[in-house]
Amino acid sequence: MPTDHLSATFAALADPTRRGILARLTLGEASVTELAAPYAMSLPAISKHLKVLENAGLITRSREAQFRPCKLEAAPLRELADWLEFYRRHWEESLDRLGDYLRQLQKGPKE
Amino acid sequence: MTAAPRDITSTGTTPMTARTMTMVRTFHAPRAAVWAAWTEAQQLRAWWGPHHFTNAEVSVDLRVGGSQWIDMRGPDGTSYPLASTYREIEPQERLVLLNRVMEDDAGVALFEVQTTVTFAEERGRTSVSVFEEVLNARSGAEQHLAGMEAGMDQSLERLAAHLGSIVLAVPDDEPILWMSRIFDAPRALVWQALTDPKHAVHWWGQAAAKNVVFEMDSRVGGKWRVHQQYPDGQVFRFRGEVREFEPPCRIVQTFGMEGMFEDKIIVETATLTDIGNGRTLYKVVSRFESFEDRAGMIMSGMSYGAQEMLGRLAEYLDTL
Repeated sequence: MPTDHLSATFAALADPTRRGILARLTLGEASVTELAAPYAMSLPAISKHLKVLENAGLITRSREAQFRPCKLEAAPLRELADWLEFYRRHWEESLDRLGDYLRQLQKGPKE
Repeated sequence: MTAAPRDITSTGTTPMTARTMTMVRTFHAPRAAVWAAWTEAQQLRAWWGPHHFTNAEVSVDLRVGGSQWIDMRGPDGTSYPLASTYREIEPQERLVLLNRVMEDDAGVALFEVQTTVTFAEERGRTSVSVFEEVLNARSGAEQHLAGMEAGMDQSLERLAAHLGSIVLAVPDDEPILWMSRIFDAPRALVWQALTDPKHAVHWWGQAAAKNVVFEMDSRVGGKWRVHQQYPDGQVFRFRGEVREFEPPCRIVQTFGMEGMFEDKIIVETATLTDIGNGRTLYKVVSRFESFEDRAGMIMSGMSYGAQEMLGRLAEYLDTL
């Protein structure tokens, strides 16, 4: 997995406005105007955020339709979510298993 | 705004500036169980308070306007009474209490704190957020207020032990996440289980995987290497290096996974604390050290927006 790609995903997600935009896009495609509606921000400012998301591969924008609606791209987010989930589970399960193992050790015959 | 540098084991809590404090912790337990632990007298009695403290008496009248009473005792027997009134109750969602701390016989409290606890289900885990706001404090309260954060932190560690769960926290201001767990075993034994490969091979990693290669050279500069095979045949390879080694209480090592974040290691600091009665608190702080600063921000934002969003996205992605 190319790590630069993941760095871009991380960086793009670091901003609350961009996270908000992505959350909105889980509901379906939307135009820039629709995405800007909840924010006290100019359209160019929103467009700048969209550019960052687009460069990170998190969204795509239609070339054909007049309003160029934005669409969520699942793959990079899935990589990130999967990786974080994996690392978390690794430790969660390890600690659970360590607890069981320590119980066993203490129950076992004394050497 | 520049934050003062904080200790690596910082708790993921905003300090008591402006006399408010927020603490967010995730437990590996269903929301109903966490709610019950928080609202049933017998259960509160088992976990409430810092390590080494006990509760002589706890009563709960769970209705708006009803009272909660905890007679907490310090290790030296000092009584720390806590008289509270339920202000809001939304089962398994939200609890608001007005607490009168160290109330005297005339009914005058040393200080009052309003506590808002919210419970959120998060992919089979429960995320609990505690918001505390000091409403009035008389002189003499400072010392108690200063200890409030550590007290709540330890209470939540005990709650986790009570639930048979780990605690997970993701601070707001640093690229770290940490987990802790209380083990019913003396520190020397936990240390051995952590650092001796003969033992560690039995618990390291997810339960579904088999450790087909397991090497651990537990000393400063020593390397470790683990290959894990999953039932589908897939093999994951992990490796790292020991940076600090202080038996029996502290080990700092790196964690890397082949083919993933090769140049972006995680530094894990594990500490073991003897909390009495043959029990040991194990805490591992994972620092995403070589990630970009901004990457750190996403990690740190995980406790609120990002984590919730990633959860929602994961659910959404599952439907595709």
